[in-house]
Amino acid sequence: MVTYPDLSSLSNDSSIAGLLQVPSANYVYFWVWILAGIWTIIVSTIYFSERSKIGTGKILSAMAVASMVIIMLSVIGSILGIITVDIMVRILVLSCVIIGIWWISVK
Amino acid sequence: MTNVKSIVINMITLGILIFAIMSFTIITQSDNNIDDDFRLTNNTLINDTYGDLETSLDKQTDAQKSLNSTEKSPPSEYIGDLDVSAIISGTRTARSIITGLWNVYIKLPMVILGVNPVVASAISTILLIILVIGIWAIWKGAIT
Repeated sequence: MVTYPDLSSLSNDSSIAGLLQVPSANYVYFWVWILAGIWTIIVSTIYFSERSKIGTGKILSAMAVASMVIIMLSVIGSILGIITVDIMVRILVLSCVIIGIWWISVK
Repeated sequence: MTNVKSIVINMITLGILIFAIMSFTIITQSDNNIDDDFRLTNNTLINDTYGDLETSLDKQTDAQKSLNSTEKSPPSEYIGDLDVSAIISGTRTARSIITGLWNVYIKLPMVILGVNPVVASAISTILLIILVIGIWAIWKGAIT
């Protein structure tokens, strides 16, 4: 007879946070790739919608807006325990660099 | 030619924006009582940068913070060294803001990306020399 492990054997936390921590238990970059995909989708959406409306798109401002969204999502991820400190620092630094370049280029 | 005044204003507002982003992250994490392993302040470079910026921008509001600021000023190491800077002054605030921005913009990305310390030192040296030459050029009027 086969016994299937339930959620308690994979994580100590049986709430939603525990469910979200299951993919990153063995591979810590799982949610990082999800965030990178969300960032790419947001950048593409803003850039191409702006280009269809106005005719020209600003890729740097789209990247900066997407980076701000990713910072907030990564903060939520660190609260839920699915993003570690090292990954959080990398996301924060790269996002701040993109936001800084956009800020300087706009003014 | 670039306008120096607008560049300085842009850098100051950018520094305040970066500080606001870091404050949002750190305060949100501390308000939700997360484990110490997931706190951003576990990274020593961010902890020092944010701590210096926060102390410099918020000091002088009460006696405890002034004491913290005074305790962070190390004594002079060299006998006969003439120390013309005050312990608590606007110069210290501006210096800590500049070093904090240096840490966030240049040192932290270099550490994160794993740049060789020799290469990082060379880049920092080149940047500082260009900065000195730029200040001289502004002084002489070559750049307005």
